[in-house]
Amino acid sequence: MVVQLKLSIIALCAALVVTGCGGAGAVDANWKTTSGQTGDWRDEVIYQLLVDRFADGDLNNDLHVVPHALGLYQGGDWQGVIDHLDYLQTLGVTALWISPVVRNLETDANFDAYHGYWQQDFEHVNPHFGDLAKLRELVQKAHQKGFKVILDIVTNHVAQLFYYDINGNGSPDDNVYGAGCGEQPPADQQACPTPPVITHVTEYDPDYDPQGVRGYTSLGFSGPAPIRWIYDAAIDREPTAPGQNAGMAPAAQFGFQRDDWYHRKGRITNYGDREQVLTGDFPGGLKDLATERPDVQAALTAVFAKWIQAADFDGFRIDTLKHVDHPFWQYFCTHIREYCAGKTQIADPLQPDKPNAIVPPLSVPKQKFFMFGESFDGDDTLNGSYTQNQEVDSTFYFSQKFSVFDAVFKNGGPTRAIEDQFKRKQMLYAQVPNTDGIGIASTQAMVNFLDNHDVPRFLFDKPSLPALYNALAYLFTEDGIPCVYYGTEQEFSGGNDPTNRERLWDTGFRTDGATFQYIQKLIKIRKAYSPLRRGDLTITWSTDHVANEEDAGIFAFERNDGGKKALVVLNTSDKQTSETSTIQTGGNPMTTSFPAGTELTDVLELDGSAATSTITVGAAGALTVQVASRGAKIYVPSGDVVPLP
Amino acid sequence: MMKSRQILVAVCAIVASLSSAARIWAAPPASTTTTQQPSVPPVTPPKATGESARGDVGSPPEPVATPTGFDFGSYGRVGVGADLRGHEGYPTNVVSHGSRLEEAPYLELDFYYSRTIHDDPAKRWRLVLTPAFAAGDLFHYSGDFTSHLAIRNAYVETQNLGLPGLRLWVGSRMYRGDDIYLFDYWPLDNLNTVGAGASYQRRKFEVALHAGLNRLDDLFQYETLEVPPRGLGPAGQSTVLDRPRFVASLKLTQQFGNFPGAKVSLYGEVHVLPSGEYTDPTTRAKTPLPADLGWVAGAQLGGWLRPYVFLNLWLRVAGGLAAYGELTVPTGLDPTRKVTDAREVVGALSANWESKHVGVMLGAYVRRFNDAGPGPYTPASYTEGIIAVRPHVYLSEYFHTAVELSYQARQADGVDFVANRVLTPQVFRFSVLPLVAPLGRGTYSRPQIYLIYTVSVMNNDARIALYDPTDFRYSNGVVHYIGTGVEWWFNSSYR
Repeated sequence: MVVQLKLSIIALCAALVVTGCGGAGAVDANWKTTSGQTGDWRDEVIYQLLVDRFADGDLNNDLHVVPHALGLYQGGDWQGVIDHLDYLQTLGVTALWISPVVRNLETDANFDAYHGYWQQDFEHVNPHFGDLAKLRELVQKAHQKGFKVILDIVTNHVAQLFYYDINGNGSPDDNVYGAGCGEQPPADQQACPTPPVITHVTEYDPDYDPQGVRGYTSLGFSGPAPIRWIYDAAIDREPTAPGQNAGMAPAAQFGFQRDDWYHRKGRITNYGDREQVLTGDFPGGLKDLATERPDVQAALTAVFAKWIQAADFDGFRIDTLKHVDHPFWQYFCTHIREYCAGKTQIADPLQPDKPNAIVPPLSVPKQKFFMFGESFDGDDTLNGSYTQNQEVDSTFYFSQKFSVFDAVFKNGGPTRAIEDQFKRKQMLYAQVPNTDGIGIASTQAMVNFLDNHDVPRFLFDKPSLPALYNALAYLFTEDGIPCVYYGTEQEFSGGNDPTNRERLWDTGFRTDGATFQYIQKLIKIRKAYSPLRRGDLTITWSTDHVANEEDAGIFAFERNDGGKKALVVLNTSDKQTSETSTIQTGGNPMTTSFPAGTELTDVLELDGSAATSTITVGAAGALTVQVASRGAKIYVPSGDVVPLP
Repeated sequence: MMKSRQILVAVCAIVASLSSAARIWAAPPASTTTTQQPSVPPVTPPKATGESARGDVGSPPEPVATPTGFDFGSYGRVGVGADLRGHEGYPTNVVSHGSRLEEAPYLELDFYYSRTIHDDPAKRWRLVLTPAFAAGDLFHYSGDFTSHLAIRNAYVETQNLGLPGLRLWVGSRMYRGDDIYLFDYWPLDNLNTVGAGASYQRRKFEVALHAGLNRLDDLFQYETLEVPPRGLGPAGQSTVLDRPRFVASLKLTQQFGNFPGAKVSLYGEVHVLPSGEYTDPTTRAKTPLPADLGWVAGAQLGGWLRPYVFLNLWLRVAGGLAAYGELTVPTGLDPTRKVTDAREVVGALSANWESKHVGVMLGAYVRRFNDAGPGPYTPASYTEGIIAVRPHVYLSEYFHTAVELSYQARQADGVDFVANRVLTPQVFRFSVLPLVAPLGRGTYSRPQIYLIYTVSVMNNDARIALYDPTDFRYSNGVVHYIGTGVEWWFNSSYR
């Protein structure tokens, strides 16, 4: 009996050991990173999702959720993304851009950090979305299904974690200076201004001061305003981590808790002033990091390199690109590329007890780690400058969003603007690939988009599905990498933040909607025809006509991938069927590079069995194509037509 | 991972090897108290004499032996210690049920009133009322008059009324079986409900049935909202969620022999939680809370050679709600807001051996817990285990010395939020307790007045798991506890 008892206990314990340890090792000691992108980033279709808004897969992290209050957490998480990878696969997108993962200030001014851009701790995950194991599980499972995963990062600022003690009273005040006359800063202003001025100053987020935010009393300025870190554990409003000794003597301060790691100049008030843009706090009191400092550069490079190793990401989408100086990007991007390529180690300067610490190396070199930045600006000279000198691989193409998708596809502007934008891109963005980069130049790797989380959705500004489809046709056929903002496929139409950050799960993840299927079809076409992904782009028609001219709203271009060609013709006019010709007004038809007699088939209209729309190229490549209002045609030589995947 | 497996295998091997001690099974003491029960033989408990003698230590009589009329009993422990670094001493456990040596003070006051029925001495009824004070609320430590008071028992029972061997009770009751004294842990059955029960004992077979309700003031089970007053005046209250948990238990026990003897118990619980609806107080949005179930199946095998020389083995498997225990809310819900897949598996051991000069207490358990939340890698799921041995040397009739050695470890399935890796906290502990036992020899002899010194050696993961980096305890891998304490029980109403 004793023997039997002993055996039964051993059996029980063995079972417990097996069940107890079966899962954890896979996400810990055995964690391995992968080799990343083996193909061409132009073959990808990026899907931008806000984790909090995509799907709620784990009810247990729904802390403080107020359903449908879109300024607050809604409950989406990484488990939700895992649960709906099939939905994304059905749509056809191939790369997931997920919102920031790091721990954030929980809430500020009655708005939550559901978006992830209010960083408090660079090295730990936001528990609203899961833990590190869940993040790894998401990336692993996404990789298994063929997705790339791009992490959204911010190097420019941290959350509103300290205030400027302007009046020296040790509390964060909201002050009003002046009774309408005279007493507001600057103190030397004695005369009563006209009109009378009342100055409102919040010590959380004072206006930009080129000398740095200064202390001020009724007697005048009193030198640099000390910053005071706030301790409010209930909302994670704590000094930035990693770091030590916030608020103590400068010599004792360490890491991101050093006062001098921040510019401390106050909030940007003039976006035309580059110095303000680079050194001012981002609106909302987001404290600007002194990224020109070598120690800050090293620290930010280390913390984000760690995330590549920790979760096996394939790329970075980089926030607030234009708010950080060029030398930083040259340092950061170069080091990240070399780290991914296995050519360098990155020091980890944030471990005070380990002066020689390094970021753990990747398991295998990660190829073609993609870094594209958000320069929220229409100035291509500025945006393009960040792609030069080994900085980012490309940018999130804001200038095209403004000058093409807004001006032309939403507002009916002349398609000549598209050609102009194309020329600016070719001229102002890097034309050679970065060393150890993605292997293609910025001009070919722009991340194209119609809308995103910072701007109203396309359908808000232009509540027209035909217009949306028209714009999508261009998005998926132009050169570069298309990026779809989550919910576009479900016809979301939210306006400005936060109404453009709807909860996707309220749609039931339907895949039978017309727009879902239209995007699905465009992606299939893009995948089926390499010229639409990798081909050189030549514009064959653009026009200044926007009224009732025969070519009003027409834009056409060819794409040529080593002799494989496609021709895309779009009509952006809301009013009429137009054509690629001005013969009636004394002009000429469009000429293409196709040989005379080539039969072209419109694969967008193709129903999968027989050609429904073919056209034959005339002499000298002449081709007059009629396209209905807001229509699009994607032609390939009939001999090249293949069944869609 | 291998490291954790090795740890668990080591614990299991030790537990298994100890089953050899079954050769010296012996009867446990007659009864103990609210927070410590050695195994109790189902019949013929040794009569308490209040005298100290090997095999008949000064353990209190079983509650049923309280006389007619008013009677009083108590369980209590009070202690204080320092860490030799200028702080109050503190416990160092990383498992759910670790060493009890540094537990916070706790006090139960048992009041009984009992009468015979129709002057038949075999038939009785009695009231059991047990207020208890917890959480270390000692006025002379804090100067604070506030105390946390709970009514741990408030029930009336009849004995042998209608049928010899039949007990009936109704009221609010701690309802539980044998424990592992060293860990203050009931590995098989430990219920707290308001309800009713019956037990019937015939010869050496006993069946005990119980059913009751409990409902925590938690939004998982209970919610009130303010509503406008009917007229003028303060806001009214509306109860929008009230779903008490129904818990029923059945225990079958068969005893074999007296001294030496053995017993086998089979045990089961059913938990039923009705559906409800949570209402967001701000938006009044409704969230359905589906009905849910829980279950426990378990067994106990106990044996004894003579009083206080015993071995108990337990196996408990719990699912659904019951995996979390009966007086708790789940730590994780599945996507349907249920906990169907939650599991708890426990294998446990408790033993005691006595001789004239030496006594030895032994306890161990291995516990596997699976949380109901989605995904396999959650830190809410874990495996843990502990083994402890406490030999006593009786230097004289009243002056004893005990030492306690223990090892405990835990491993979560998921990554720790702070460490960004899986933690395997482990603690080795060594304690010395010179003690005075006014009632004489015996590991279960109480009261026990003692001095204590404990040194705990914690690995880094233990410190990370237990403390925030800003906590003064975070930096201490070697923890001292030096202090004094007392534990007593008599006439305690532990079941």
